Amino acid sequence: MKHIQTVILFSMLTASVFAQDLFNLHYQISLPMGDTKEYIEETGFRGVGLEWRKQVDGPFSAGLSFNWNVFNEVRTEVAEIDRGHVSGTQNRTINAFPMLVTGHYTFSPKSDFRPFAGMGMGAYLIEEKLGIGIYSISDSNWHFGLAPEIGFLYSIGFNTNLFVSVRYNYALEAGDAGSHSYIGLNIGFASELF
Amino acid sequence: MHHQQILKLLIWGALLPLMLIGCYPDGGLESIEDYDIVVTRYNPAYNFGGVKTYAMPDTVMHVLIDSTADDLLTREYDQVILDQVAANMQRLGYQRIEVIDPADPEPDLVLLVFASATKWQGYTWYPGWWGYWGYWPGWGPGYPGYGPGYPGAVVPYSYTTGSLFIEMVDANNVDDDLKSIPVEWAGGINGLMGSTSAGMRSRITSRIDQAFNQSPYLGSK
Repeated sequence: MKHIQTVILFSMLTASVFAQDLFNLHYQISLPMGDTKEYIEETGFRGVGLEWRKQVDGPFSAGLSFNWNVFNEVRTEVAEIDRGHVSGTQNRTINAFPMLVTGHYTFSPKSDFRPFAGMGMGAYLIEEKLGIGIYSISDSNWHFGLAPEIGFLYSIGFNTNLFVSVRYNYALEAGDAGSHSYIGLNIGFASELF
Repeated sequence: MHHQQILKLLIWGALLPLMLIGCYPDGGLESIEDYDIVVTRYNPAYNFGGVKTYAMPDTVMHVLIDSTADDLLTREYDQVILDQVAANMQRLGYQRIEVIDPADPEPDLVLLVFASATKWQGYTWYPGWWGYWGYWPGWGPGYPGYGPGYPGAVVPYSYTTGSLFIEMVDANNVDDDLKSIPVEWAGGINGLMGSTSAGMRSRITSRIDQAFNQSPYLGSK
């Protein structure tokens, strides 16, 4: 058993030498679009993304991406209810958690500057919250979504790269919950960790 | 694993929770005024253009959960409240009947102003206050045992101590079958009188104005 573990560990380590697995942590700024913008107009400055990419064949890589994007806006307006109206300060929040399987194509994979283009698809857990006065209602839904992305990696030494990308997130309608879309501007570091 | 790799892992491991904590929204409401909420409901079938005169008792009723409960609400702002309601009604073209004379025609509408002196949870509107007004001469012939008929569907709701209510009832339009006096318009301001912070006067007047302003159908004279 111990022998098998050693072999697996060794093969993982050697694989990383040739395959350049990338572990990437980045800060995300989110620009709301479409229906998302109807609910919250302000840019979301709170976001984080975590991605693991594994080279599968030459310039092609496959990966997993986990993200958390927060939108928040305080508005004062009158809302219509059944046979009446409610006014008060509204605190609107969206928490979006995209969980994606990704595929990327890297141009000039051997140079320091490596542009890439790719696509993610998977689950978007989206929680919408509306606070008005002392009351609060929230609604969480799982959406299926797509996320085309372009960006680049730039080697800065120590097996570490600057990571910059633009990703368009589109979460389709889910039951009664409408679609969501936003553009994510991502900047961070990608490391060939193991 | 090399030292360099361990170091990198530690740095990444430390960065991630910091970024996650940074994401957590802390809410955007900062002052007590931000929590004020003004709810208005009305009967869409009622012709507000067809009524002109109204009467209003010269008091803000404090409603308690029962007669033995303590009334902790101040009366400091009663006059401000009543004056502001009257000013809005005048602006909309309604005419107040100040002195109730049984010989005169009854007013088209009666406005009732009351405040909760206790907390209510899970009520669509306000329970148990109707009996407080039973003695008031503006009712004309009494309707013993009649309760208010509210517009709108039942929704779960709650009111904090200090919530202010304004109700417009049509005493000439009593439903004898249902034994109810219809409430044609109602405004509720949540938690307004719960504190004694500075600027209370302007808060009260602006929230009462808001209740009328968000109800443009009242002014169709």
